Amino acid sequence: MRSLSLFAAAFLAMLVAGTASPVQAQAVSQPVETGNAVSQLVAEQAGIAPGETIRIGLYQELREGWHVYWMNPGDSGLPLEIDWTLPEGFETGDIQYPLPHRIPLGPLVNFGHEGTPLFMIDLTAPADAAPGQTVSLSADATWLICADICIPESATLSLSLPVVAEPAGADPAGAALFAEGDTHMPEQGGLEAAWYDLGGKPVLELSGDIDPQAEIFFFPAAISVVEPAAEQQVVGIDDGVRLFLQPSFDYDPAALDVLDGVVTIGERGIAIAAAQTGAPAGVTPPDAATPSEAANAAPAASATAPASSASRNLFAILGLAFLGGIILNVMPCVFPVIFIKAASLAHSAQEKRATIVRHGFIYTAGILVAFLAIAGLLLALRAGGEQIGWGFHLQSPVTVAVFAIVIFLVGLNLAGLFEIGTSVQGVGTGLAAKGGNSGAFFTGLLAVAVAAPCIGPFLGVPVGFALSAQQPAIVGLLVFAVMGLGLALPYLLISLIPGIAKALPRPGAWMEVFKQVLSFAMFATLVWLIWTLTLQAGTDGLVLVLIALLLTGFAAWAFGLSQRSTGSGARLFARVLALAAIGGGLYVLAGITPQLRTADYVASAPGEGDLSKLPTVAYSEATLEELRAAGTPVFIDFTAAWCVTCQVNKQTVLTRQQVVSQFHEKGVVYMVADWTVQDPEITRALEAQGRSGVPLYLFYAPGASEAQVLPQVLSFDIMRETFSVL
Amino acid sequence: MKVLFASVATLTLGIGAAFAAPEIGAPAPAFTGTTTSGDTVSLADLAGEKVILEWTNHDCPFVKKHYDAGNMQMTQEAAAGNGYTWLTIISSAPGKQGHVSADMADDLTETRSASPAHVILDESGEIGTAYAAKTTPHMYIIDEDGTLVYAGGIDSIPSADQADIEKAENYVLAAMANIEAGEPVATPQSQPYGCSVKY
Repeated sequence: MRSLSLFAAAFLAMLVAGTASPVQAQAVSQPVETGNAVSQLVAEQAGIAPGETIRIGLYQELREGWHVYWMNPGDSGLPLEIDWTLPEGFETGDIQYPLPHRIPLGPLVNFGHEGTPLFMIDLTAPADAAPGQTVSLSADATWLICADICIPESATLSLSLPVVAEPAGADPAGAALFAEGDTHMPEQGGLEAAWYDLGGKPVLELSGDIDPQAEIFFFPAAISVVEPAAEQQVVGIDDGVRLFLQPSFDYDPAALDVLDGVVTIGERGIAIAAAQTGAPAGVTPPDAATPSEAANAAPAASATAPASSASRNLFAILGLAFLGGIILNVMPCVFPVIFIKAASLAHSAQEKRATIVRHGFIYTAGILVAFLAIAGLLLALRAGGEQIGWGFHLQSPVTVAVFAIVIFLVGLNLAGLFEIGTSVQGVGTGLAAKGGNSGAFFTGLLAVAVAAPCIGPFLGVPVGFALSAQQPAIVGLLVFAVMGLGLALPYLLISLIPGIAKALPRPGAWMEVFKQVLSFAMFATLVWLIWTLTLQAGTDGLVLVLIALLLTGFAAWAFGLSQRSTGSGARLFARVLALAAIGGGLYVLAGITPQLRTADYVASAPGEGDLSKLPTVAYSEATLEELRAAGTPVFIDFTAAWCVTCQVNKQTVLTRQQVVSQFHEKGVVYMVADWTVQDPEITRALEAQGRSGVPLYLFYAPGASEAQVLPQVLSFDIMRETFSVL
Repeated sequence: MKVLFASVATLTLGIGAAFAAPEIGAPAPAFTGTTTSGDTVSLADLAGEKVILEWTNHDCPFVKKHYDAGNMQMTQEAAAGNGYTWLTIISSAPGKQGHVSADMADDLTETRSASPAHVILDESGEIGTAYAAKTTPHMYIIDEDGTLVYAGGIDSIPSADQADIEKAENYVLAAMANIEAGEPVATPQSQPYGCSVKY
């Protein structure tokens, strides 16, 4: 009877335990609220057997918009810390973190968790733990929780856990949390990983089940080894991907045998421990990829840069492109062309608003068509493997000669030798409107054509970005289109806003004089183009272009004569003469052939002991390697005769005596990479710096692993500061 | 035109250069900032002086840890005693935590008995970006030659707990001792810890 009542009491006790709410179940601690988080200790099993290892964890419900940190918190923040007080013989393992997320904060990036993270910890009971007792586990947990501001929080949590003879089975409340938590833990294994050092930077190679379309990112477990906010360039290889990482200050290839962490591929996360290997032959960072390698990597089509940083970059680049486009309007080679248009607008200030607005849009369309045609041509040529970059059209002496003729014609027109478009005397109004449309379009095309040589300093970065191999073609076209909108903007505003057009000075006799003055800006541009051509094609080319210009001048005069002549026979004769002259000029141009000109630089190098000139050598990869290996500081001037900024820097800074003497004092070699004509070796070197045009100034200090990139506009201070490390 | 030229060129470079940390052992990035008294101070003006830069945000718990315990003030006094010019820099953008007016910044200096030579208001984040300042606090030491010799945390234990201060190694004091003894700085770089700079 007595044993029966004992049995009944035990049965009742079991019933009570079984119907108790989960919160009061033994394997879950009381939740503790700390302001921005609610924290609990939880266990997966309802009890622990002697010698058994079970999973327990810290479960947190974070306030909406707040985050806590992964084991490597990234640029700021602190990871969770737990200080355990355990019964005799019990042991806990390391904290196992759920998959981290990137949390950007301005220029910084943190790695952390939002929502309801479960941090799992292994708990092992001693083999001699006595079943039947209930042990108490106590955790002093501290964590930093941040939204845009940060608050350190802490809680003391305790969990009571029965020691049972046999494994207890799942705890109803705890097991559900662990089942959910497991879906957020990194997969163990599944990827082959190795890493190697390449020129002082870590490169991670992954192979296995990788979706090449997904976004791929490596979260390093160790702090200060890989820069958290730096872009990770992903390049597809045969059976996986290669990630080019940026080292942080604690990166030491000699001490870093294993690079471990978590790789996320889209929504998946996989833990990796990459062993260090030797760098395979022929690997180059994506920026410096040789054409053949870029071609090999392209079919894999997995070069997916992290979208967020890429799009942020894109906006900055588009902003620059727009600004650069606006500034082009006031460049000496462009301004006269724009002025023709503004002048014709002032003429038409009394015309119908609709016509003025239409002209504004047609002009914009002309600019866009020209820019997109150039961009399309560049991109198509590059896709075909051509080693070309911005300004390529000026690398051909024939193109330079054609530009010279166009500029000369514009100058002669401004000077009044002949007229074009709406201002032709005696043409009916219907025709004038029509002429105005095509005239506006042509002005747009011409503005881009004459703008090309002036693009250097402002648009180097956006153009380099647009043409880089990592960008889809559509992004490249977008950059050029935005640049075109910038160029078109001032005129477009004049045509759209009546007030501006009204504020323009009244047309009158003064305008003819002003146009004539502006013609000299064109003739000055002409002088420079002819000089460029002489460097490209020598005196033979010079003679030919001068003959072509002579014929052009004659053609312009004959055309002007035809406009002023009254007899229809005389007019026809003058026009035939003009056509014949221009045809002859073009025929002459075809005879111009480029001459390679590296020899000029060797010739211009100073003799022994001559300190008045820069210690000049011509650029070659081999020479550069030799000089760097010998510990000689090298300054590389990537230049071109047709690049205005390059010439300004050369005349106002580089060839000045105070700079020249610094080169000699500090023993710096002045290496000239002349891009006036096509040179694949130089194009490659520019691409390695993410550029596709000149100027570019690089400085290699003795022993430096990388070049220092100098600003595109040089000054004495910049040069002094650069050389101050010597 | 020339000014336009230069400013656009600068903008171009600003975009080109990412948020990259300055190199230890190289010349410290030049900067010019406006102090709470409205004066401008630039690194070039301080040529020949040893300089310490401290990034701060008075509401950040990690900053509070070191100011409430008197640790930052003690470090400032030690620096002043060794002839350093201490510049406290606030890079919080307007509307973000830690952004203060000049008067408020002076008030904070007074109420906390701090002794920086100047407090620089860098609300554009320009100086912070030049130094890739990540956290508050984040400390930098520049020697008499203008070379950056230390960048990192104030000490070796990343926590918000005042009790850790006496267990930690104060890297700024240690670097100053190295410099005083003519030795290279033993720990020239450490992981800065704290709140993110509120750019």
